[in-house]
Amino acid sequence: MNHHSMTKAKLAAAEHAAAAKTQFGFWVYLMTDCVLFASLFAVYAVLQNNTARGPVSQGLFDLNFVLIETVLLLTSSFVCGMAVLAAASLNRRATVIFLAITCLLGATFLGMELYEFSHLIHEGNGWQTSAFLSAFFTLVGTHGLHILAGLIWGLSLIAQIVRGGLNHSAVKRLGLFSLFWHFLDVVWIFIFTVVYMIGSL
Amino acid sequence: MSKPLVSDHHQANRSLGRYVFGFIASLILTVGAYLLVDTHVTTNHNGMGHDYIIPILAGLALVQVIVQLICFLHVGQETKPRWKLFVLFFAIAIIIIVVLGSLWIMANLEDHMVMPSQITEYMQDQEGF
Amino acid sequence: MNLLFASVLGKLGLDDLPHDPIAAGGAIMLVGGLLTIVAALTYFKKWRWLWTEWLTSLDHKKIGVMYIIIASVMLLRGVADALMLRTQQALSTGASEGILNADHFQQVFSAHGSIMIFFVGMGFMFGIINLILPQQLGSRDVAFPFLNSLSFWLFAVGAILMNVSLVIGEFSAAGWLAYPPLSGIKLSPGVGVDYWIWSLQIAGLGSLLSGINFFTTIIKMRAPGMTLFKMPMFAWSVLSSMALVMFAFPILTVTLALLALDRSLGMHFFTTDGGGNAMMYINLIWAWGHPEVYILILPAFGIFSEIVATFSRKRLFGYTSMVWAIIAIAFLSFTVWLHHFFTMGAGANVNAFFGIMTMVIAVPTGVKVFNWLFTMFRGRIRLDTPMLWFIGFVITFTIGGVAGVLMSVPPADFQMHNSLFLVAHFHTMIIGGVLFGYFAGLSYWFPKIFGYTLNERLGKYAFWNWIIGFTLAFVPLYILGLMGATRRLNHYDESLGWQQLFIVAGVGVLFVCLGIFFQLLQLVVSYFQRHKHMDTTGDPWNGRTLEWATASPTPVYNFAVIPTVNDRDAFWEAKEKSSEPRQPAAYEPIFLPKNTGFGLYIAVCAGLFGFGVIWQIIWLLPLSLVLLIACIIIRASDPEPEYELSPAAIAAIEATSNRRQYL
Repeated sequence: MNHHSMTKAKLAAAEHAAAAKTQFGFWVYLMTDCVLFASLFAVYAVLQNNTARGPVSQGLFDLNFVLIETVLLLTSSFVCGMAVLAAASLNRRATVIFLAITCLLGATFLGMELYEFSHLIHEGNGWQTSAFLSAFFTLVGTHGLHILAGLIWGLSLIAQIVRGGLNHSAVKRLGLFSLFWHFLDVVWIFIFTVVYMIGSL
Repeated sequence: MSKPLVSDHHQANRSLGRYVFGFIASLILTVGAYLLVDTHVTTNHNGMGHDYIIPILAGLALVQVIVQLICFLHVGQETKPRWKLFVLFFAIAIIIIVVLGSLWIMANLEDHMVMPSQITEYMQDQEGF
Repeated sequence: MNLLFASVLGKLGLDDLPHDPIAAGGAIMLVGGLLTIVAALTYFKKWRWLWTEWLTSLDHKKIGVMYIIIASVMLLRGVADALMLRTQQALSTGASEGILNADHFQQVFSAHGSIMIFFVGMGFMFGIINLILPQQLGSRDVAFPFLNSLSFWLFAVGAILMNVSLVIGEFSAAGWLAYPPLSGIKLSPGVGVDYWIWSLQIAGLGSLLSGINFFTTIIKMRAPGMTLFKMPMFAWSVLSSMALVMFAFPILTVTLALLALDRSLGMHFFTTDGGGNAMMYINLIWAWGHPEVYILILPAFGIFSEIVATFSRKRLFGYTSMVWAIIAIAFLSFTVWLHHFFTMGAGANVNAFFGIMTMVIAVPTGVKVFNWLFTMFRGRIRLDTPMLWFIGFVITFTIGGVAGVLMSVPPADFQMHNSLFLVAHFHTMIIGGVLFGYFAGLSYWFPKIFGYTLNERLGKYAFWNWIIGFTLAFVPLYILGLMGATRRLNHYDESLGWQQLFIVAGVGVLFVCLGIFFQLLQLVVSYFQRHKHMDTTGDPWNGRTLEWATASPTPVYNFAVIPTVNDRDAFWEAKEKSSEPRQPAAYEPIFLPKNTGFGLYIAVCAGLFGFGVIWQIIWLLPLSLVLLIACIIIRASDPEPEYELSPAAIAAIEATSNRRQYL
């Protein structure tokens, strides 16, 4: 906002109210995304044993690989929190560095996931083989698409902070981005547990 | 330049502590789940507690979710009225109903599914076709 | 050369234009209508006006009007479909094959249902909410004005995509819910189901965003002093409905996406091979579908609560129980969805659970009906058009509702599932409930939006034709259903003796068309008579809630000074307390969102993506996605999306304002 005619106090109050409204709206959007993922989980649960002539989940996944992926994403979630704290202390340099590390770790996660997917496809275990594999690729792939969207967002946020500084808009958006990024890690806990851990038993 | 959103150093430190705790706890819970499954698979699904492993894994996941909700997503730290918390609980309620309901329905349908050969057999044996 | 065309245009070719007379006729009318509008805009040099005053506006009132216009046009299309279906069923028995071949008939009923639910029902609903909700809350706008514009354009692009299918290609022949395996790629290899999927997917995204927007508006932007339990009932109904939108539409998004993945990428969610489970589709689509019908009806209930109180000149009876009833209905609507597929083969205990929950949900609904009637009791009732719509609703909806309770008993439903009894039931609910509710709201709030009242006599003619038409069209269907007639029949045996009832039903649709004719006539006549029927006070009905405190038509900022609220029926209270108009206050500057075309651009990119998937125009897919993301980033980097209205400017507008100055 650029309201010359408002007093400073009123401006701060108005900005605070607007930020609270946006934060609430974004939180509500995250709740709808929860329902979206829940539906995908329900589909996965129903179809996970419909393996047709294809492979079953037991023995299909490299658990070490998945552990590394998971730790990378978890670390990126933690580093994202550090970025928010840095922004709260108005430390522009630290904010950008933490954000960059977050995106780097996220990109590595995504790269590992794409590698896993291409490996499965090359072995003939693509999404056309069975309902189980369709559900696997879709559930994990949807999470991956969200990560991709987050990376694009994170990078444009870094650009905004580098060019325009840690103004109110950037801090507000960083807060929203961190909600999104943490939420994706929470969803991954479910994927890790249901698809990879329980699926390997 | 706007005012810092976190107005004092003490609050920042407490926040940092929360994030660190959440991170370490999540690491432990993740690696714990991994080790459980890994040993299970390498001992050929014969390890003790095979029957309990799924509830244990579910429990570990649930705890980690709660840890991350509180430590990373700051759930419960709203000032009143706690609308975000309310919407979260409502979402969880709907998810439980729809997901568990769907699983119940689909399992029930599966149970009641009859193979065509069974129908033929029934018609021939019981109905004299 | 052919290869070049194929890579540029995908599957699209010249023979995808319609070739049989009825389809071609529909396409010509559509294109003709469009060209007429383009010609008129060019001749009267109104393109710039259209762009700056309407298409790029972030004013919720203008967005509301645009929703209503699209919904009305789609209503005409949906009724045209209904006319064709009724004509077919009235004629097609014995030797006669009627006017439509089987494939065509299936496309028509699929289009009819899809259009009516997604573009007429949802369109009127979001239109009315946009027009009135912020004003009722004492607010200046919705929570996220840009998102509001984006939601509208996603809705519009969905509607456009569905209409494009009339001209290029074909539509789905798999019913308004497109059950697999019929809607899978093997049994529906054409583009029809893909048009259906993407039209709904894009419009559904708009709906989801609107749900978030209006829910946040109500939670965060009420006038000071307006606690939740002092909110008007319409606002409560919107809050409940939007909660349903937020949590039901993601299920639809997932289900449509999975069907698209099956069709486009060869996945096996719902196929008959590879381990697919088509029953999962039906389970998920109804887990969305049942909340959807409550999404449509709850705001109609809210509208009726306002109208009954105003036109009985009495406070709404039992406000608290009304609120709890609507909350209960909203929550319970997530627990009944299996009643749409009792016959799919679940066991008795599953069927019984959902049957009982279905019966339970009728209880809070009954509470509301009784409260409306108690409001009327000893009121001083004025039977203006909005109140007539209510009377029509309360009788019709109650009858249709008990038909529903009948079917909530699983063994009974085994007889009536997918019969014309079911068809009559849900049309009773949707026409008698949803449509009558939105018609009532439009005639009630018309003067607030446009500044003059509608012609009462034509409104009454419209109502009577609608109610007579509806009765003639659907009572025969209840009877036919009990006689064993199933739905979606394009031909039936002469020996059944059903034709007479089908003919009566056909006559009913003609009366409905007459009703629509009178509604259109009413709009035209009222426009030309507007100077004789100006709303000079902003409060033509002696209303009770805050939207009547603004001028008619409402200025862009709604309230020059945000009112403070003390009680329910805030405007009524203000009128009772003050005998003299207040002195105009000193004004603070008001900040309003600037116009922007980015809502439109983003929606168009989404539409292009859908079109690309439908016709397998591969290069269009990454291009439209990249453009979409670019649009979002550009919009997000706009540093000053608001403009300021100075106190002097506000004072000038207020000086010529016609509102009663009690607030």
